[in-house]
Amino acid sequence: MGVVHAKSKTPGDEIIETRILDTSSLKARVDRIHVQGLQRTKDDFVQAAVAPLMEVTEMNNLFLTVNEVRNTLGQLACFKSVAVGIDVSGTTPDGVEVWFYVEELKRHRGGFKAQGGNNEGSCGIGFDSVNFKGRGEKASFSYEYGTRKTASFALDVSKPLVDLGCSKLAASAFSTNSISPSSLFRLTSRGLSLGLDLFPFWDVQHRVSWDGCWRDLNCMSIDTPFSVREEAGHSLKSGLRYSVSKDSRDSKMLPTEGTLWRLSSEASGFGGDVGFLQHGFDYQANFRVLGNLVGQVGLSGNVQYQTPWQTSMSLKAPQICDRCFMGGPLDVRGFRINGAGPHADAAALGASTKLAYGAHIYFPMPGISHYGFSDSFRFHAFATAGHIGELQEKPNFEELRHTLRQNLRASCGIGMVLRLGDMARLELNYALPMIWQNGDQRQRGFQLGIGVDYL
Amino acid sequence: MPSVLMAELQAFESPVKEPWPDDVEMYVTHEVEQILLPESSSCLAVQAFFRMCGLRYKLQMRINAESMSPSGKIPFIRCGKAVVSELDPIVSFVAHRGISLTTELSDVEKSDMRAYMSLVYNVLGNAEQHLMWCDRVTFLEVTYPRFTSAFPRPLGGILCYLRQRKMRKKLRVIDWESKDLEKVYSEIDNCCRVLSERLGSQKYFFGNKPTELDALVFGHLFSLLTTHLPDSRLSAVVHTYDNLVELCSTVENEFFQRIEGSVSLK
Repeated sequence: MGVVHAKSKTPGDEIIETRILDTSSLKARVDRIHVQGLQRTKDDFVQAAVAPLMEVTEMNNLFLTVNEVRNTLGQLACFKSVAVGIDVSGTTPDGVEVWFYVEELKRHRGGFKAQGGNNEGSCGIGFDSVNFKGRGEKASFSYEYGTRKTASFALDVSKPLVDLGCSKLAASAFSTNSISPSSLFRLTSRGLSLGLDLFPFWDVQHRVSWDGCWRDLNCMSIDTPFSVREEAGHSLKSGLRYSVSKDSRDSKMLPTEGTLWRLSSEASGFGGDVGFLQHGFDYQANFRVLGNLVGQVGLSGNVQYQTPWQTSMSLKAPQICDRCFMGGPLDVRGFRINGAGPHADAAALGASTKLAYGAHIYFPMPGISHYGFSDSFRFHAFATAGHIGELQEKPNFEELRHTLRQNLRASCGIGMVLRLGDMARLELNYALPMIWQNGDQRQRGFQLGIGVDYL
Repeated sequence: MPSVLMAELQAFESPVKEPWPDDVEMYVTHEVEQILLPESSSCLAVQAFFRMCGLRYKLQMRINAESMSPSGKIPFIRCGKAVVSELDPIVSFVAHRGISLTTELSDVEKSDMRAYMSLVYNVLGNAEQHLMWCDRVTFLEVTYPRFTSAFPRPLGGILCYLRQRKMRKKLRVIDWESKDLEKVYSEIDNCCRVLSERLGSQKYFFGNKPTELDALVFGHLFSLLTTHLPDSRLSAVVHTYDNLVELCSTVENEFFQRIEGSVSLK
């Protein structure tokens, strides 16, 4: 920004004059802001979003701020499209007028969907109401019924807080019914959740949330091993969670540059009968190695433990539905889903601590241009590894090294990655488990995986 | 209700000739603060059966024993990898190992025994459920505090309400829900009279050796006699049948007191 190429045209399309204008020294004062196309959206709500423009004094700054405001308007999730126009106002010497042309989203939307996952297929209905009171409020309801008689519903209500940047307040009530074939249990969770998203500075997202959840854990069959059976029953978990993340990647599923980091902490035990602390982190960095070759390294870890206070309140330690699992076609590859880690018979028991590493080299299909399909398709070679196990209380360095070495799993392989609209990722890999431990469920050979989270 | 299907299923399998393992565990809910009258009866019955057979077991008390059980009911036993719940399936499971209390009975006696057992299930079992879930006073003073003690608030209240709804629905189907207390007591009285007539002056229902019917009757009557309920008429009804009370004390003295480390029933 800083240089404007201005062209004036005659009706005959003949270019008469081209001037290069240096805007860095130009002053600007926003005299008037027009927002066209508003129907049910309330004025004060839009006014708050465009307010930063009124403080602009320089032309350069104006362009940047206009762009920011346009993004803010886009993120309110009220408008289908936002277009901008800038013109001189003529009333004051440096005066400009800014025009926003918006198109509002329909008030109600409904839909029907059918989907297939790893465990089951399901179909469902959904209903959305966007911007229903004119200040960006959104309510959505969805209901899904699966082939294994699992039914879930969710009711979400959210409201953007324009005065606080792109912050958002959200509340939801949910009931989900899921099965875990790798651990042979069936879980019904019902609960409430309240969350606040904040973006105070540097594009860092902060999220504070509270979840209150009633879990009903049941054995899936008579073959469920006793160590899973012991955890069956009702429990109530109330937890405060805080997470902070920054994502500068150019794509979530097949990035070529940028990094993601995320730290999260959760403390539960304020009410309810489950209490523990959980800390997790994720890191991913992407960089161009050579031409179209993209390198990616990922690191993710999680640790759970009980504080003496939580133990003294005789709160339950993390249950099998809370614990960390490892292995799968998008995790430490070469193992079945949750196949790395402690097992009882063939059921994964999970552990309290895990640390996983992954490294990829991505390359496009040779001979195909960089655009279109090949943009969402890559070959990759990967190496993944991880430790999963129980951490001793107050481990010293020697012990820690010993524990880590004892619990090491590693694999490598090659495969194909397909990005599904940047919402999910499909991988077909040939994976070779290299290091494993007794009881692990390995899967040597081809593995197909689809999912949102990947290592 | 006994689940007949499980029992049938196991009868089809070939018998196992292995000694009774040492590590058999019986899972129940906490006896002092949590267990309710019907569950207490079943747990006592199964324990009495095990002791009559001379089988070793270790009693394990868990708050979530009902959820752990494959049928959702207690007690259940864990024997190796097998988990079996409720008296009838457990009796067949044990018989499958070649251990039975009824080998000396004739077929007629066996079917007699089954008939009396089903009488006990249908009358005493349902009467106990009725008292726990349909009688307002007992529900508020006994069932609610005991049931909710196992869960954090407000989950206990929700679960208790759900359980009450479920049990009342079950009782409604078999026409027990609408019975008033007098009617329930008279049903118990009738059942006890029939049992008392069958028992007569014998030591056990079928002569000198106990059967699972004795275990079952002991489980129910002992619970009725010893559980403190707001209305004490219940134990008074049972107390009018001297030979049944005598049976309870015989079983208690013979099987529960001479084994070391046994649970005190006093």
